[in-house]
Amino acid sequence: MRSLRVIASVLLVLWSTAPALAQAKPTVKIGYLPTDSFAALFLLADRHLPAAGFNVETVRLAGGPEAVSQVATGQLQLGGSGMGAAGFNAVASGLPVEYVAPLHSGYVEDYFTVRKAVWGNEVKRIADLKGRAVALNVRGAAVEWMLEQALKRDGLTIKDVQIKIMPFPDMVPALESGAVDAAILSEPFPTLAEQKGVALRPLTRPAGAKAMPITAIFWNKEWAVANPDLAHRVMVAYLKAARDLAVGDGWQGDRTLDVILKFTSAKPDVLKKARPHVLDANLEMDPTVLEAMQRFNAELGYLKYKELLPLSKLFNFAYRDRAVKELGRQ
Amino acid sequence: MRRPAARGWESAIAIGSPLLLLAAWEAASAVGLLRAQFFPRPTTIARHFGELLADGSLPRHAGTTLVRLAWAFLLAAVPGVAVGLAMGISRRVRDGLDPLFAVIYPIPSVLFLPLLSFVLKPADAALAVTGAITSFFLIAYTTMTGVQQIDRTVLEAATHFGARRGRLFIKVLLPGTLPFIFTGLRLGLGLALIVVIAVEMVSAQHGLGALLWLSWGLLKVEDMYAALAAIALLGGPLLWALALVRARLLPWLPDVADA
Amino acid sequence: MTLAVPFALLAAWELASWLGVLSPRYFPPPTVIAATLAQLLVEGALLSEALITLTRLAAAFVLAAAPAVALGLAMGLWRPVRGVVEPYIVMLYPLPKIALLPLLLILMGVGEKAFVVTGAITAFFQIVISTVGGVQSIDPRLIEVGRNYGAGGTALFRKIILPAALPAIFTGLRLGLGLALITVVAVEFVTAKNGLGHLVFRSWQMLLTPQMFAAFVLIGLIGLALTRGLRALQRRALAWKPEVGWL
Repeated sequence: MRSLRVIASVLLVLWSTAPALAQAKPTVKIGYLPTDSFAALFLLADRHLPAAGFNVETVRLAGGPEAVSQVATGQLQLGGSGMGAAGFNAVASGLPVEYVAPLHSGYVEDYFTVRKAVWGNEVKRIADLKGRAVALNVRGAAVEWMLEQALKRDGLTIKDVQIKIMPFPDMVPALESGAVDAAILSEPFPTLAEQKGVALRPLTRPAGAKAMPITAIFWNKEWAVANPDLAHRVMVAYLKAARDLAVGDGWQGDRTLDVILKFTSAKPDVLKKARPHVLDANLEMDPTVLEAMQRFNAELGYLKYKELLPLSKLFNFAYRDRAVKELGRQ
Repeated sequence: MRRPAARGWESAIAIGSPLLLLAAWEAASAVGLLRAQFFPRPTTIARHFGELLADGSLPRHAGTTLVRLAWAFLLAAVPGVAVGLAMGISRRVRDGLDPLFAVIYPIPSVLFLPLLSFVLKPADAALAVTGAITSFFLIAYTTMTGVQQIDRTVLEAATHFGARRGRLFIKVLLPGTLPFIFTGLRLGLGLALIVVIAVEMVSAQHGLGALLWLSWGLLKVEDMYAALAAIALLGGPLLWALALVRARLLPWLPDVADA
Repeated sequence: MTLAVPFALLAAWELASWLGVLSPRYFPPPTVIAATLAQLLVEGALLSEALITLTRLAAAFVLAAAPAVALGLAMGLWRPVRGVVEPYIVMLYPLPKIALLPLLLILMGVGEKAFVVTGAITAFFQIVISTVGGVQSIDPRLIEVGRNYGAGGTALFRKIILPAALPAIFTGLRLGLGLALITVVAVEFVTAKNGLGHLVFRSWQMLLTPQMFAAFVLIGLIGLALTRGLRALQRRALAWKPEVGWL
């Protein structure tokens, strides 16, 4: 009887101290998509957050609406996705989600890929894509806006082409077989397609072109407000991750490639040859592009609200600014 | 016969409990127990539904789905009944077609969409025909069973009294088979609706299934619920209309609950 | 069972494909499809996808079967239960359950839970309806006879009601499994990232038609095996009522 009491009290002590022990290290749950454009998030989860004393759990997700809804409901604290209607609608409906920093930017010339077999014959210029099939990986996100920008260069709009939705990896065989004639394709797949002789990227980047923001990270607003110190530390760690990428050969350095490999099935040698993504060392983002994207989504009927949201409602850059101040501008 | 009081209770519960649930949902959403952005209040959904009706978008989507469904049902029903009758009457037809049907029937209908999209260029045609396939087999088989279960003695008696092919068919075979044909049509209509909605979710830009799926992708949650409600409201009246036709044609039959 | 008609069709397809009457890119010859099927099976990729689909199917069925039979029996035996539940069944039956998928995705996230539950709900409705029908169509004289011989309560249930309803229950389980397969494959087609249904979809998008047809054939064979196998099982298990119908 006595030994039972001892055991019981030991268990009781352990039970009551365990939460305290766990609380010593804060936990952050991060949702990601297995694509190398999420490199900053991978570096954050793998390197900088643990270094800052955090427990990190990463959850692999299927796409934008899932990322937004999981962060909005608090199942995850932090997530990333292509900027687009799902995120805009979530913010507009009052869900506790706020975009806080860009995740990656790119140049449309690096994304717009055309099937080699038709380029030069049936399709001599972008306008010849009228009525043809073009691949996008999702509707209502930055890639759709990118396609519109590419088509606009030769007088077409997105309504002039036939959109087929498929994941990035599937676009390469689709370009090969002719299921689509063009695609908005994210690295490393355009490079892969070029290596296979399947497709090419016909657009040249004009001098002084600015990269377009494509993906961004967002977190649960209620969590950030309840844990301002944690949120700040997360942002500082994220800034460090961004600087790992922005400086030197960041995106294609060996350490980065190792981390990318951990979270995706991308091949390092292909990534090395790919055109790098872009992320600003101070996590800056062109606000005019954001406004144009919102307007574009509204025109396509993707938004559930009529009046466009001011930028300040969509993005909360306060944490980013504070982190940049702390680490100093680069 | 059930006592009137008991029947009154049953109707009360039948109407009352769903209303109670809706009221509970309304309350939970209003106070925040249910997150309103993902589970809007039923009144909000109803209002949004009304808005989509008024601006024409919901009727357009519903119309698209109904047209596809009508085609799918027609393509399934007419050949289905014809083939089913043939299979029921002629042993040779049945032996010839049965192996083919038995192999194709268990295949989940949506999988036929790729095949059909290769063959039928207008996207709508491929969607409608996909909806028709499994229904066709269902209706054919049910009709066949209907023919087979006709009491042989009735057939013999009729033949004995001089009824030949044509009259035999119209006066004996068809009336005897009709209840089964209608069961098949009912099941076939339900199945066609399921498949049309499913393929719309996969690859259409218009239609209730497309609206449902696209709204989810854009997190336009109220649209999603409105589409769901519209789909739910679609099935009931269609089946009821079919039941009406059946009651007219086969007035001597009591209401059969289910297959 | 003569396989003349199917063989004739396959032969015609083979010929048409080789001659180019049927575009071989969209309709590869059956021999090519068979070869691809064999190759993919050997490589193991096809089997792992099949396993995923079958696991989802099994989970959906197991989730639905017991509660559905229990509810069906309860509804058949006690009027108050039927009175409360029946309106929901009647209202929700015409709704294609796959339309619930986005709602479930919001509730449970994009993952196995949502996929399996969608399949389970479809099976659930079918099994309940069949079970209720089975109980209700029991010849009242059987029950009378049982009562006359002193059977009451659980004995009546175990010895008379359950065996009498068993054929309908079994049919319901069979139909439910078939519907669950259709739903699971449809869900995979629409939204999953793996499984045979998804493989068909992906191959379609990439126009890898031999692979698409190979997966298609495998699903057909699985469906056929399930329906035939379960019908045979029903015939053996319920040997006193051998006619099982064509469904």
